[in-house]
Amino acid sequence: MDPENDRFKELDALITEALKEKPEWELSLSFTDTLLRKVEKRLTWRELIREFAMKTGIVAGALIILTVCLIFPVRESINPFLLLVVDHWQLVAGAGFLILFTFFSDQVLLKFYSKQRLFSDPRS
Amino acid sequence: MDDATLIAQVQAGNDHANRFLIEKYKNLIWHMVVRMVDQTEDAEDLCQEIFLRVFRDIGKFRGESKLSTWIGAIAYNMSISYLRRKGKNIMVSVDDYLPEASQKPAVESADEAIDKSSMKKIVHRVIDSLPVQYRTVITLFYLEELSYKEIEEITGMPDGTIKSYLNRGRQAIREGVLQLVPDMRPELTGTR
Repeated sequence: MDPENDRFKELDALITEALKEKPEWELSLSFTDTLLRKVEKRLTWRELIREFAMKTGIVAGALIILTVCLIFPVRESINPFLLLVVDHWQLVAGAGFLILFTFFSDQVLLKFYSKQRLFSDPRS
Repeated sequence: MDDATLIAQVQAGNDHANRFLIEKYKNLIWHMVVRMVDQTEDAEDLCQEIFLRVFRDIGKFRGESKLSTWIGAIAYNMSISYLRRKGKNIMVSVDDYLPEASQKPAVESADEAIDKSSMKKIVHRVIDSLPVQYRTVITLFYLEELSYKEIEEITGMPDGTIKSYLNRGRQAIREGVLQLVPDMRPELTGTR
């Protein structure tokens, strides 16, 4: 056997062996747990937002239907009320925003942060 | 647990299925990312981002490929995007690549003994200096033992390109090692 060829084969074998070796650095031991907590948080947030959107949609839909039902029988006398709303639109918009924000805080933020305490302390 | 069952369980929000998916594929993603990105702190964050994307988009998986290659493709694309964001030139040809030519040889004289583990470290140094596509293809082929078809599904590279990257990458590694360990060169020049 040619010793030069042997050295060449040896080098090739060594390269193959090195290529099949795992990288020197490894993932931290807490990787899976940290990631699962993140996944849980995101899923919870998404779920709460979805529920909030559905509830808001149902309430808004019900209000629209109710308004339409009320307006039709009293079409003539509704104009002064509509004018009042238009004249004070900032107040109406502000009240609407406040109601929506309170609803959002109650349904999403408070629920999320109370659940987050469970994510940060899995024993509780 | 087969792919379809696993996906159904993950979509149903089963914690054990989520953990199983992470445990099953974390090595594939980690090996790809750490070889492509090359910065361990960022690499772990990037792995987390990749998994979060997998969990977000798992409903879009249509089963046209294996779950492992679908996840690998997400890891590949996100790693390439990361490198682009960092301003790294990812389209370097191996012809332009010089294996640490400016560096001192790892072994100064033929008398200096070099053991197997040191040689492997040298090989890894050379691998780390290869262009990213070469490192990716080499990692997927040798370390993850994926087929050409699976590598094609992950990287989107044609079959011929993958084979070419493997051959030229290996050649570049050999040349890089010979450059860093010059005492091996005289004995090998006759065979090259």
